[in-house]
Amino acid sequence: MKDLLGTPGVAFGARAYSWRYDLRPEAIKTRRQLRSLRRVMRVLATGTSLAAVLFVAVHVYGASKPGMLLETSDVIPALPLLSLAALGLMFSWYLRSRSSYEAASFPLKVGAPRAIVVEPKKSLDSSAFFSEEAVRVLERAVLLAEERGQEKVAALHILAAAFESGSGRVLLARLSVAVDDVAGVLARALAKEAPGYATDREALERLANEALLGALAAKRSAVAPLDLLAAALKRTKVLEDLFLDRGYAPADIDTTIEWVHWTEEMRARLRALRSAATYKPVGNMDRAMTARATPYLDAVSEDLTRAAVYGQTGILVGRDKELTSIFRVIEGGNRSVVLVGEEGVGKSAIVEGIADLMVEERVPNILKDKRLVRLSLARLIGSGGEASERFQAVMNEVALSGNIVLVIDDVHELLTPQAGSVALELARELERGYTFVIATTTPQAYVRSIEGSPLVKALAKVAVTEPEGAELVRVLAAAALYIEARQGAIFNYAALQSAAQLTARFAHGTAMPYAAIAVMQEAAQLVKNAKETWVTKAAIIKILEEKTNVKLDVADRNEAATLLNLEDELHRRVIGQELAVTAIATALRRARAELRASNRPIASFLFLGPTGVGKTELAKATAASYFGDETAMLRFDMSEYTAADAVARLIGSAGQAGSLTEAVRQRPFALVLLDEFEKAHSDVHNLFLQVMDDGRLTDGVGRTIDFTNVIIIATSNAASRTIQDQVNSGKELEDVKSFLLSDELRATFRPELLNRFTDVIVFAPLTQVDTIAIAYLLVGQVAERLEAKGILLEVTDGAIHELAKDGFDPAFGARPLRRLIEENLENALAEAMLRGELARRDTAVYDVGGKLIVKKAAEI
Amino acid sequence: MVGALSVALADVLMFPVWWYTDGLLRAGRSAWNFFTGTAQSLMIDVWLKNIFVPMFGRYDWQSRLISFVVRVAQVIARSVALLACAVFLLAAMVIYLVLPVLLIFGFVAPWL
Repeated sequence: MKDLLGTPGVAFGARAYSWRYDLRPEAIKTRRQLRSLRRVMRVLATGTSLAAVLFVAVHVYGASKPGMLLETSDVIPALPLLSLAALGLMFSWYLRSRSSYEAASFPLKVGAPRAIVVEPKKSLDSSAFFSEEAVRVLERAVLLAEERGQEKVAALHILAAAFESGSGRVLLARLSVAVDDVAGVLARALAKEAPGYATDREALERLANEALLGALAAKRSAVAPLDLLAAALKRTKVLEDLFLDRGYAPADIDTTIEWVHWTEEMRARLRALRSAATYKPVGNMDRAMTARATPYLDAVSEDLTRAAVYGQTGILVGRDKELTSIFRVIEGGNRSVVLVGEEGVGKSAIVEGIADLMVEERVPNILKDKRLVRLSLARLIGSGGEASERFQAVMNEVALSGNIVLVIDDVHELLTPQAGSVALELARELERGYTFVIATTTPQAYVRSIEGSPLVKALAKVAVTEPEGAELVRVLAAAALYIEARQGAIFNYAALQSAAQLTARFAHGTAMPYAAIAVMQEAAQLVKNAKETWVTKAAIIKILEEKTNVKLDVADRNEAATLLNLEDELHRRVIGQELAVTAIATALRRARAELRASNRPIASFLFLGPTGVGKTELAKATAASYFGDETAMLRFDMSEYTAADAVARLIGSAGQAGSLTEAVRQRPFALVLLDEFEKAHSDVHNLFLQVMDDGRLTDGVGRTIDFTNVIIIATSNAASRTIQDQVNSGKELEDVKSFLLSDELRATFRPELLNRFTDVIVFAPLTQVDTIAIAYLLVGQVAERLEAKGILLEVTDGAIHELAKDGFDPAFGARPLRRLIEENLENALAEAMLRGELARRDTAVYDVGGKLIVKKAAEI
Repeated sequence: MVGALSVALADVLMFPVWWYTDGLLRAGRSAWNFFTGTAQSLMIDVWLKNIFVPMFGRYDWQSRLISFVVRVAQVIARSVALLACAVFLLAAMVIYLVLPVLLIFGFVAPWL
């Protein structure tokens, strides 16, 4: 019946494949026994042949006499034994080839395979494309089901078997998940499977088929245990909770599986490169012996193809698009290229990748049997004498040798005054067409120097961009292999992932992937120094925190408590202003839990209210709580940016850095405080509209400045009269805010700007009660400063109330109070200290009427 | 176990057949790989392709002449080396083919 309906298979051109390999338990057991038998027979055959050789050797030695030659009659009796020895070796070789297993390669190049239903008898056996380990996993799954007396061989059995395989173990190690944890979950799930007699293997065959399709979709020509594992994971959700608990979504598991595959692929590529390297000449001479010695060039260069033969170049991952462009330019018109990309984006990696390809001769004909030589500009230009003379000598050798392709890193350096006319000469030599170069430069230098120079015509531009997403993870996985080999610390997936994601967000100034690789190297060293083995997310975060001075990891319990009590924390410095404090605390909690949009500033607020009510103080308290330091605040007085050139001064222009962009570039984790925002030029308002929208600005030098890690607080006194009046007339703050937003503020700020703020916060005018609390706070600060000098300060409640009463002014908030405390309390203390009445260990008591009494400390 | 034993017995019986079929194919493939590897390292094709190209980037007529002579000599010498390799491998293949017969002779030789 099953035959009539057909079984799942894979169609490929005119051919159909389905699972034909016998997976009945009896067949599996027979094969296992046969493997053991063959092993025993091989040992016997090899042993027999060794014994025979040994016997003959001893016999001949015993029969021979000194100075006597062996005669035919001596040899003939030994012939049967020698024949036996040869037969043993031949038989052993035979048995080895019989039991050796080699997966066939699926003919991928013919076209795309597709899933179909086939009649088994009319199809070819798909099991040929399974690696030996993969077949073993399937066999183990069947036996597992049989041992447990379970009728259906399900995804669970395959999972259990696949995690026992070598690559299954590697996968768990990369995820930092204990083998026992997975085994426990699987054992519990298996215990619930229905019992029966193991007859139904259709599910198993379907799964094998899915694994084959999965492998083919990933352009792998043979199925590995991990393909089975991936197919089984798609069928059952039992492990999902365990993985989620460890912080892995199903997509993460897929990427980790890919990672283990890549590792294998990269090893295979390295092997291929090594074997190809044996045929590549390492000297100056090409195979055709047309080259000649290049002493001048050798003195100022480094041979990249030779380095590739010796395995000193890194392996290039991805970049197919760039390589295609480069080869097209070179092959198309024998023209030179310039790779244009940011520092650290991987230009050198591409060049070294070309060197690798040249060693394997997997390059266009024009690059075959050539040397890739990197010119050292430092040695060419910087070693005294005429640079252009040396350059002419080099180009002369290149012309005569004819087998040299020059690499010129940072080609814009040729356009500096020290290089003289080298750039012009290079352009001229390239025009003659006997050779071509691969140059590199940065986008800024390209615009600044190359464009408008004679080189622009000679060099075709190939843009090299930062790798992103899956390609970035792949590049880092390759880098991890090298770091692991060198430093002996091993990366788990979370470390790799956080290196990719967090570095992109927090480490600025260097492009990916270099920035992430640098962090990974440091993290590996950190782990190695601590005599540990695994580089985890924690190590990556530690390095990033050291570099950026910002706490990045998921809030630990202490910090969680701080965040949850952030209102109290802020209230320690800011009196009253409940609404403002709550709004800030909520926004910060959201940011810390990573729920905010990552392409905008952390939060942006507009603080409205009369002067002296705590706007700046709340901003400082916020900087202290979020960035751990109240100096992490970049303060701009917007009344200085009222003219038409305000934007140019903030972001810079014509090659000049701007005050705002430069400050944020140097301190990307900070609070940007914009005082008196209403006074800024309307263009400045538009500028911040863009910042709040995109989270970045381009400065006058052409750099993109990241604003996604800043908190923006704009303060404004606009409408403070209205606020005071309405609050005094008993209106709620929320109503005042609505009125301001819908009416009065429209004259000052454009509505879209107001909408862009995370929140507009109205600060209430201070009440008499607030002033008393502030007086306590300010006096407390004075006491703290005195304590550092070893003097105790006591201020009576009466005195504080008196200060608060005298310092209260609804129009200026707490400012007069601060001044009053300075004038009365601090002056009195200073005078007492200068007169020598107040010394260390004394107690100063400040009372009503500005009276200061000093209680002298007991003599020691 | 019976199944496994019968296959093992079949293994023994099939050995001579295997020697002249699959085994011969394997031995032939190894010999061919060795031959192509040697040919690749001798690079006769490269020398032939560049037979008129002067060596060491010297383009005067004297150098061209010397280069041509040297290149012809190189091609001949390398061809001889490749031929020697081919002869050696052919001999090895012949030995492979007659080895079973030689073994039978070795077993019965003392009684002949």
